[in-house]
Amino acid sequence: MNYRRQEILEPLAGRYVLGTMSWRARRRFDELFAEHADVRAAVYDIEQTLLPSIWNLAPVEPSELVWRRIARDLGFGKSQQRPPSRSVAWPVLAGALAVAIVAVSLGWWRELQRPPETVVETVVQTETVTVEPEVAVISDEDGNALWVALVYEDLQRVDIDVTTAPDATAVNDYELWILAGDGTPASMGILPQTGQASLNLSPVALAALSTGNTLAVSLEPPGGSPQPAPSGPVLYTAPLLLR
Amino acid sequence: MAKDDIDELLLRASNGDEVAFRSFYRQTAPALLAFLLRMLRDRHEAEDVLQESMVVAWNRAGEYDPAIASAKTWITTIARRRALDILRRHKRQSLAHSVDADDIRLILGNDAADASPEPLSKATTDRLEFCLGEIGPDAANSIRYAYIYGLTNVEIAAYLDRAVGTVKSWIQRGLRSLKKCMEG
Repeated sequence: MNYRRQEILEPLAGRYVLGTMSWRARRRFDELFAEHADVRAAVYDIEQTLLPSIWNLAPVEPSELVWRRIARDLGFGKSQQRPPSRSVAWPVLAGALAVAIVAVSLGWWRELQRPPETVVETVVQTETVTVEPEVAVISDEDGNALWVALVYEDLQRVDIDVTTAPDATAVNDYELWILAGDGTPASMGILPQTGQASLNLSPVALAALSTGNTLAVSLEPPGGSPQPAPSGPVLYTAPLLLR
Repeated sequence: MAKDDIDELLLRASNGDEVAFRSFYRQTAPALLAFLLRMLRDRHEAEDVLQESMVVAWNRAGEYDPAIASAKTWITTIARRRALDILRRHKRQSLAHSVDADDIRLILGNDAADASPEPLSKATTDRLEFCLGEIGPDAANSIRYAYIYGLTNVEIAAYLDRAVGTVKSWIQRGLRSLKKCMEG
Protein backbone atom coordinates (compact mmCIF):
# COMPACT_ATOMS: atom_id res chain seq x y z
CA MET A 1 0.00 0.00 0.00
CA ASN A 2 1.28 3.44 -0.83
CA TYR A 3 0.79 5.21 2.47
CA ARG A 4 1.77 8.51 0.97
CA ARG A 5 -1.18 8.84 -1.38
CA GLN A 6 -3.06 11.83 -0.07
CA GLU A 7 -6.37 10.03 0.42
CA ILE A 8 -4.58 7.44 2.56
CA LEU A 9 -2.08 9.73 4.21
CA GLU A 10 -4.57 12.24 5.54
CA PRO A 11 -6.65 9.84 7.67
CA LEU A 12 -3.50 8.06 8.80
CA ALA A 13 -2.01 11.38 9.89
CA GLY A 14 -5.20 12.10 11.80
CA ARG A 15 -5.05 8.81 13.64
CA TYR A 16 -1.36 9.37 14.34
CA VAL A 17 -1.95 12.81 15.82
CA LEU A 18 -4.84 11.57 17.94
CA GLY A 19 -2.86 8.53 19.05
CA THR A 20 -5.57 6.10 17.97
CA MET A 21 -3.31 3.90 15.84
CA SER A 22 -2.23 0.48 16.97
CA TRP A 23 1.22 0.30 18.51
CA ARG A 24 2.70 -1.44 15.49
CA ALA A 25 1.16 1.01 13.02
CA ARG A 26 2.36 3.91 15.13
CA ARG A 27 5.96 2.65 15.03
CA ARG A 28 5.73 2.29 11.26
CA PHE A 29 4.28 5.76 10.93
CA ASP A 30 7.09 7.13 13.12
CA GLU A 31 9.48 5.93 10.43
CA LEU A 32 7.43 7.51 7.66
CA PHE A 33 7.28 10.74 9.68
CA ALA A 34 11.05 10.78 9.99
CA GLU A 35 11.69 9.92 6.36
CA HIS A 36 9.18 11.95 4.35
CA ALA A 37 8.47 15.66 4.34
CA ASP A 38 4.95 15.15 2.98
CA VAL A 39 4.13 12.88 5.92
CA ARG A 40 5.41 15.47 8.36
CA ALA A 41 3.39 18.15 6.57
CA ALA A 42 0.23 16.06 6.85
CA VAL A 43 0.81 15.54 10.58
CA TYR A 44 1.52 19.23 11.18
CA ASP A 45 -1.60 20.10 9.21
CA ILE A 46 -3.84 18.08 11.54
CA GLU A 47 -1.96 19.27 14.61
CA GLN A 48 -2.38 22.87 13.51
CA THR A 49 -6.12 22.33 13.06
CA LEU A 50 -6.57 21.04 16.60
CA LEU A 51 -3.99 23.23 18.29
CA PRO A 52 -6.40 25.82 19.73
CA SER A 53 -8.09 23.16 21.82
CA ILE A 54 -4.95 22.69 23.90
CA TRP A 55 -3.13 25.99 23.55
CA ASN A 56 -5.98 27.83 25.18
CA LEU A 57 -6.08 25.63 28.25
CA ALA A 58 -5.29 27.42 31.47
CA PRO A 59 -1.49 27.44 31.60
CA VAL A 60 0.44 25.58 34.27
CA GLU A 61 3.81 26.96 35.30
CA PRO A 62 6.48 24.27 35.45
CA SER A 63 8.64 24.12 38.54
CA GLU A 64 11.94 25.97 38.29
CA LEU A 65 13.72 22.62 38.37
CA VAL A 66 12.50 21.77 34.87
CA TRP A 67 14.47 24.57 33.25
CA ARG A 68 17.46 23.84 35.48
CA ARG A 69 17.46 20.23 34.29
CA ILE A 70 17.12 21.31 30.66
CA ALA A 71 19.99 23.76 31.03
CA ARG A 72 22.05 21.07 32.74
CA ASP A 73 21.31 18.48 30.03
CA LEU A 74 22.19 20.92 27.27
CA GLY A 75 25.28 22.29 29.00
CA PHE A 76 24.02 25.86 29.02
CA GLY A 77 26.23 28.34 30.80
CA LYS A 78 29.26 26.10 30.38
CA SER A 79 30.90 25.28 27.09
CA GLN A 80 28.77 26.34 24.14
CA GLN A 81 26.79 23.39 22.84
CA ARG A 82 25.18 24.25 19.56
CA PRO A 83 22.29 22.29 18.10
CA PRO A 84 22.89 20.31 14.92
CA SER A 85 23.38 22.15 11.69
CA ARG A 86 20.23 22.83 9.69
CA SER A 87 21.68 20.74 6.86
CA VAL A 88 21.74 17.44 8.79
CA ALA A 89 19.66 14.82 7.00
CA TRP A 90 16.44 13.50 8.53
CA PRO A 91 17.37 9.80 8.49
CA VAL A 92 20.51 10.53 10.51
CA LEU A 93 18.47 12.50 13.01
CA ALA A 94 15.80 9.84 13.06
CA GLY A 95 18.40 7.26 13.99
CA ALA A 96 19.76 9.49 16.73
CA LEU A 97 16.25 10.13 17.97
CA ALA A 98 15.53 6.41 18.04
CA VAL A 99 18.65 5.88 20.15
CA ALA A 100 17.61 8.74 22.40
CA ILE A 101 14.13 7.31 22.81
CA VAL A 102 15.57 3.92 23.71
CA ALA A 103 17.92 5.61 26.17
CA VAL A 104 15.12 7.63 27.71
CA SER A 105 12.94 4.52 27.84
CA LEU A 106 15.67 2.62 29.61
CA GLY A 107 16.04 5.50 32.01
CA TRP A 108 12.31 5.48 32.63
CA TRP A 109 12.34 1.74 33.21
CA ARG A 110 15.26 2.03 35.59
CA GLU A 111 13.42 4.77 37.42
CA LEU A 112 10.66 2.28 38.05
CA GLN A 113 13.18 -0.25 39.33
CA ARG A 114 14.76 2.08 41.87
CA PRO A 115 14.49 1.03 45.49
CA PRO A 116 11.82 2.90 47.40
CA GLU A 117 14.23 5.04 49.40
CA THR A 118 15.72 6.39 46.19
CA VAL A 119 12.31 7.25 44.86
CA VAL A 120 11.47 9.08 48.07
CA GLU A 121 14.68 11.02 47.76
CA THR A 122 13.76 12.00 44.21
CA VAL A 123 10.34 13.17 45.25
CA VAL A 124 11.80 15.35 47.98
CA GLN A 125 14.41 16.73 45.67
CA THR A 126 12.01 17.71 42.91
CA GLU A 127 9.27 18.92 45.24
CA THR A 128 6.57 17.43 43.06
CA VAL A 129 3.49 15.56 44.13
CA THR A 130 2.29 12.56 42.16
CA VAL A 131 -1.43 12.13 42.49
CA GLU A 132 -4.11 10.82 40.22
CA PRO A 133 -7.50 12.43 40.43
CA GLU A 134 -10.76 10.62 40.37
CA VAL A 135 -12.99 11.95 37.69
CA ALA A 136 -16.63 12.67 37.15
CA VAL A 137 -18.20 14.13 34.05
CA ILE A 138 -21.41 15.93 34.95
CA SER A 139 -23.69 15.91 31.94
CA ASP A 140 -27.17 17.11 31.11
CA GLU A 141 -30.00 14.85 30.03
CA ASP A 142 -28.80 14.99 26.42
CA GLY A 143 -25.36 13.80 27.37
CA ASN A 144 -23.65 17.16 26.91
CA ALA A 145 -20.80 17.54 29.37
CA LEU A 146 -21.34 20.53 31.66
CA TRP A 147 -18.55 20.24 34.20
CA VAL A 148 -15.62 17.90 34.64
CA ALA A 149 -14.68 17.35 38.27
CA LEU A 150 -11.19 16.12 39.17
CA VAL A 151 -11.25 14.99 42.78
CA TYR A 152 -7.88 14.94 44.52
CA GLU A 153 -8.66 13.28 47.81
CA ASP A 154 -5.03 13.39 48.97
CA LEU A 155 -4.83 17.09 48.24
CA GLN A 156 -8.25 17.67 49.78
CA ARG A 157 -9.54 19.57 46.80
CA VAL A 158 -11.61 19.23 43.67
CA ASP A 159 -10.73 21.01 40.43
CA ILE A 160 -13.59 21.95 38.17
CA ASP A 161 -13.45 22.56 34.44
CA VAL A 162 -16.55 24.11 32.92
CA THR A 163 -17.18 22.54 29.55
CA THR A 164 -20.54 23.94 28.54
CA ALA A 165 -21.56 26.99 30.49
CA PRO A 166 -24.89 26.44 32.28
CA ASP A 167 -27.64 28.99 31.91
CA ALA A 168 -25.76 32.26 32.08
CA THR A 169 -28.86 34.14 33.16
CA ALA A 170 -29.44 31.96 36.20
CA VAL A 171 -29.59 33.99 39.38
CA ASN A 172 -29.01 30.90 41.44
CA ASP A 173 -25.82 29.01 42.14
CA TYR A 174 -25.05 25.42 41.25
CA GLU A 175 -23.75 23.51 44.27
CA LEU A 176 -21.70 20.35 44.06
CA TRP A 177 -22.30 17.52 46.52
CA ILE A 178 -20.65 14.20 47.30
CA LEU A 179 -23.04 11.49 48.38
CA ALA A 180 -21.63 9.29 51.14
CA GLY A 181 -22.12 5.55 50.98
CA ASP A 182 -25.39 5.85 52.88
CA GLY A 183 -26.59 8.60 50.53
CA THR A 184 -25.96 11.50 52.92
CA PRO A 185 -24.87 14.57 50.92
CA ALA A 186 -21.92 16.75 51.84
CA SER A 187 -21.24 20.00 50.05
CA MET A 188 -18.08 20.29 47.99
CA GLY A 189 -18.70 23.93 47.11
CA ILE A 190 -20.25 26.22 44.53
CA LEU A 191 -19.57 25.31 40.92
CA PRO A 192 -18.14 27.94 38.58
CA GLN A 193 -20.24 28.87 35.57
CA THR A 194 -17.26 29.69 33.38
CA GLY A 195 -13.61 28.76 33.27
CA GLN A 196 -12.06 26.69 36.00
CA ALA A 197 -11.92 26.63 39.78
CA SER A 198 -10.40 24.70 42.65
CA LEU A 199 -12.63 23.94 45.63
CA ASN A 200 -11.09 22.98 48.98
CA LEU A 201 -12.86 20.05 50.56
CA SER A 202 -14.17 20.27 54.10
CA PRO A 203 -13.61 17.44 56.59
CA VAL A 204 -17.29 16.53 56.16
CA ALA A 205 -16.88 16.24 52.39
CA LEU A 206 -13.70 14.19 52.78
CA ALA A 207 -15.47 11.82 55.13
CA ALA A 208 -18.30 11.39 52.63
CA LEU A 209 -15.78 10.91 49.84
CA SER A 210 -14.17 8.04 51.71
CA THR A 211 -17.36 5.99 51.38
CA GLY A 212 -19.26 7.54 48.45
CA ASN A 213 -18.73 7.54 44.73
CA THR A 214 -21.49 9.77 43.38
CA LEU A 215 -21.48 13.51 42.81
CA ALA A 216 -24.65 15.56 42.57
CA VAL A 217 -25.44 19.11 41.53
CA SER A 218 -28.31 21.09 42.95
CA LEU A 219 -29.73 24.49 42.13
CA GLU A 220 -29.42 26.73 45.15
CA PRO A 221 -29.85 30.34 46.18
CA PRO A 222 -26.75 32.52 45.72
CA GLY A 223 -24.01 31.33 48.03
CA GLY A 224 -25.35 27.83 48.27
CA SER A 225 -27.79 25.85 50.32
CA PRO A 226 -28.57 27.38 53.73
CA GLN A 227 -28.68 23.88 55.18
CA PRO A 228 -26.24 20.93 55.13
CA ALA A 229 -28.19 19.27 52.31
CA PRO A 230 -29.61 20.46 48.99
CA SER A 231 -32.44 22.95 49.47
CA GLY A 232 -33.25 23.12 45.77
CA PRO A 233 -33.74 20.51 43.07
CA VAL A 234 -30.96 18.02 42.36
CA LEU A 235 -30.37 18.52 38.65
CA TYR A 236 -27.56 16.14 37.84
CA THR A 237 -25.65 13.21 39.28
CA ALA A 238 -22.44 11.60 38.05
CA PRO A 239 -20.34 8.67 39.22
CA LEU A 240 -16.69 9.03 40.12
CA LEU A 241 -14.66 6.79 37.86
CA LEU A 242 -12.49 4.09 39.41
CA ARG A 243 -14.07 4.01 42.85
CA MET B 1 4.64 38.44 21.87
CA ALA B 2 3.15 37.56 18.52
CA LYS B 3 3.09 34.14 16.93
CA ASP B 4 5.86 35.03 14.53
CA ASP B 5 8.08 36.06 17.41
CA ILE B 6 7.93 32.56 18.88
CA ASP B 7 8.88 31.23 15.47
CA GLU B 8 11.75 33.70 15.45
CA LEU B 9 12.90 32.60 18.90
CA LEU B 10 13.10 29.01 17.70
CA LEU B 11 15.00 30.05 14.61
CA ARG B 12 17.48 31.96 16.75
CA ALA B 13 17.79 28.93 19.01
CA SER B 14 18.65 26.85 15.96
CA ASN B 15 21.72 29.03 15.63
CA GLY B 16 22.78 28.33 19.19
CA ASP B 17 21.17 31.32 20.91
CA GLU B 18 20.59 30.08 24.47
CA VAL B 19 18.84 33.26 25.55
CA ALA B 20 16.35 32.91 22.72
CA PHE B 21 15.76 29.29 23.64
CA ARG B 22 15.12 30.27 27.27
CA SER B 23 12.52 32.78 26.02
CA PHE B 24 11.02 30.13 23.75
CA TYR B 25 10.74 27.84 26.78
CA ARG B 26 9.11 30.53 28.90
CA GLN B 27 6.58 31.29 26.17
CA THR B 28 5.61 27.72 25.44
CA ALA B 29 6.21 25.58 28.54
CA PRO B 30 3.11 26.58 30.57
CA ALA B 31 0.76 25.70 27.71
CA LEU B 32 2.62 22.47 26.99
CA LEU B 33 2.51 21.44 30.64
CA ALA B 34 -1.23 22.16 30.78
CA PHE B 35 -2.03 19.57 28.15
CA LEU B 36 0.68 17.13 29.25
CA LEU B 37 -0.91 17.05 32.69
CA ARG B 38 -4.27 16.27 31.15
CA MET B 39 -2.78 13.47 29.10
CA LEU B 40 -0.49 11.92 31.69
CA ARG B 41 -2.26 12.72 35.02
CA ASP B 42 1.06 12.90 36.76
CA ARG B 43 2.95 16.13 37.32
CA HIS B 44 6.31 14.45 37.74
CA GLU B 45 5.89 12.55 34.47
CA ALA B 46 4.44 15.56 32.65
CA GLU B 47 7.42 17.70 33.67
CA ASP B 48 9.77 14.92 32.59
CA VAL B 49 8.15 14.88 29.15
CA LEU B 50 8.35 18.67 29.00
CA GLN B 51 12.04 18.49 29.81
CA GLU B 52 12.72 15.77 27.24
CA SER B 53 10.72 17.62 24.59
CA MET B 54 12.70 20.81 25.14
CA VAL B 55 15.99 18.94 24.92
CA VAL B 56 14.82 17.38 21.65
CA ALA B 57 13.65 20.81 20.46
CA TRP B 58 17.07 22.35 21.08
CA ASN B 59 18.89 19.46 19.44
CA ARG B 60 16.56 19.44 16.43
CA ALA B 61 15.88 23.15 16.12
CA GLY B 62 17.95 23.14 12.95
CA GLU B 63 15.21 21.13 11.26
CA TYR B 64 12.50 23.63 12.09
CA ASP B 65 10.98 25.23 9.00
CA PRO B 66 8.44 28.00 9.66
CA ALA B 67 7.13 27.58 6.13
CA ILE B 68 5.83 24.11 7.04
CA ALA B 69 4.60 24.58 10.60
CA SER B 70 4.47 27.22 13.31
CA ALA B 71 6.83 26.81 16.23
CA LYS B 72 3.84 26.02 18.44
CA THR B 73 2.74 23.24 16.12
CA TRP B 74 6.26 21.91 15.92
CA ILE B 75 6.92 21.75 19.67
CA THR B 76 3.40 20.48 20.35
CA THR B 77 3.95 17.62 17.93
CA ILE B 78 7.19 16.68 19.68
CA ALA B 79 5.62 16.77 23.14
CA ARG B 80 2.41 14.96 22.19
CA ARG B 81 4.27 12.19 20.39
CA ARG B 82 6.36 11.57 23.49
CA ALA B 83 3.35 11.71 25.80
CA LEU B 84 1.38 9.33 23.61
CA ASP B 85 4.28 6.89 23.55
CA ILE B 86 4.35 6.89 27.34
CA LEU B 87 0.58 6.55 27.63
CA ARG B 88 0.46 3.65 25.21
CA ARG B 89 3.44 1.93 26.80
CA HIS B 90 1.86 2.16 30.25
CA LYS B 91 -1.32 0.67 28.90
CA ARG B 92 0.47 -2.09 27.05
CA GLN B 93 2.31 -3.06 30.20
CA SER B 94 -0.50 -2.68 32.67
CA LEU B 95 -3.48 -3.79 30.67
CA ALA B 96 -1.94 -6.22 28.20
CA HIS B 97 -4.05 -4.75 25.41
CA SER B 98 -7.25 -5.41 27.30
CA VAL B 99 -9.21 -2.34 28.20
CA ASP B 100 -12.75 -2.03 29.41
CA ALA B 101 -14.84 0.72 30.92
CA ASP B 102 -13.50 0.07 34.40
CA ASP B 103 -9.99 0.75 33.20
CA ILE B 104 -10.70 4.25 32.11
CA ARG B 105 -8.59 6.49 34.25
CA LEU B 106 -8.61 9.59 32.22
CA ILE B 107 -10.69 12.65 32.26
CA LEU B 108 -13.29 13.17 29.61
CA GLY B 109 -14.73 16.43 28.50
CA ASN B 110 -13.92 19.68 26.86
CA ASP B 111 -11.85 22.32 28.56
CA ALA B 112 -13.04 25.85 28.79
CA ALA B 113 -10.95 28.33 26.88
CA ASP B 114 -8.90 30.39 29.24
CA ALA B 115 -6.25 33.01 29.03
CA SER B 116 -2.83 31.54 28.40
CA PRO B 117 0.41 33.54 28.28
CA GLU B 118 0.36 33.28 24.52
CA PRO B 119 -3.13 32.30 23.39
CA LEU B 120 -3.90 31.62 19.82
CA SER B 121 -6.00 34.28 18.17
CA LYS B 122 -9.59 34.50 19.27
CA ALA B 123 -10.64 34.14 15.67
CA THR B 124 -8.80 30.82 15.39
CA THR B 125 -10.23 29.56 18.65
CA ASP B 126 -13.72 30.68 17.77
CA ARG B 127 -13.41 29.05 14.38
CA LEU B 128 -12.40 25.73 15.90
CA GLU B 129 -15.27 25.85 18.36
CA PHE B 130 -17.66 26.67 15.54
CA CYS B 131 -16.33 23.82 13.41
CA LEU B 132 -16.45 21.36 16.30
CA GLY B 133 -20.08 22.36 16.68
CA GLU B 134 -20.65 21.76 13.00
CA ILE B 135 -19.38 18.18 13.01
CA GLY B 136 -21.76 17.08 15.75
CA PRO B 137 -21.28 16.27 19.43
CA ASP B 138 -20.30 12.61 18.99
CA ALA B 139 -17.45 13.32 16.60
CA ALA B 140 -16.41 16.50 18.40
CA ASN B 141 -16.28 14.82 21.81
CA SER B 142 -14.45 11.77 20.46
CA ILE B 143 -11.81 13.99 18.86
CA ARG B 144 -11.47 16.04 22.04
CA TYR B 145 -11.14 12.93 24.20
CA ALA B 146 -8.40 11.54 21.99
CA TYR B 147 -6.53 14.77 21.35
CA ILE B 148 -6.64 16.44 24.74
CA TYR B 149 -6.74 13.43 27.04
CA GLY B 150 -5.01 10.78 24.97
CA LEU B 151 -7.83 8.25 25.11
CA THR B 152 -7.78 5.34 22.68
CA ASN B 153 -10.66 4.35 20.42
CA VAL B 154 -11.41 1.45 22.76
CA GLU B 155 -11.53 3.70 25.81
CA ILE B 156 -13.74 6.26 24.12
CA ALA B 157 -16.05 3.50 22.94
CA ALA B 158 -16.21 2.01 26.43
CA TYR B 159 -16.97 5.36 27.97
CA LEU B 160 -19.63 6.31 25.44
CA ASP B 161 -20.96 2.77 25.36
CA ARG B 162 -20.67 2.58 21.61
CA ALA B 163 -18.95 0.16 19.26
CA VAL B 164 -15.28 0.80 18.59
CA GLY B 165 -15.99 0.92 14.87
CA THR B 166 -18.56 3.63 15.44
CA VAL B 167 -16.06 5.76 17.32
CA LYS B 168 -13.44 5.22 14.64
CA SER B 169 -15.92 6.32 12.04
CA TRP B 170 -16.92 9.41 14.01
CA ILE B 171 -13.30 10.42 14.40
CA GLN B 172 -12.33 9.78 10.82
CA ARG B 173 -15.30 11.58 9.33
CA GLY B 174 -15.12 14.27 11.99
CA LEU B 175 -11.49 15.08 11.32
CA ARG B 176 -12.14 15.30 7.60
CA SER B 177 -15.08 17.63 8.11
CA LEU B 178 -13.22 19.64 10.71
CA LYS B 179 -10.31 20.25 8.40
CA LYS B 180 -12.60 21.35 5.59
CA CYS B 181 -14.49 23.63 7.92
CA MET B 182 -11.30 25.22 9.28
CA GLU B 183 -10.07 25.83 5.77
CA GLY B 184 -13.40 27.16 4.59
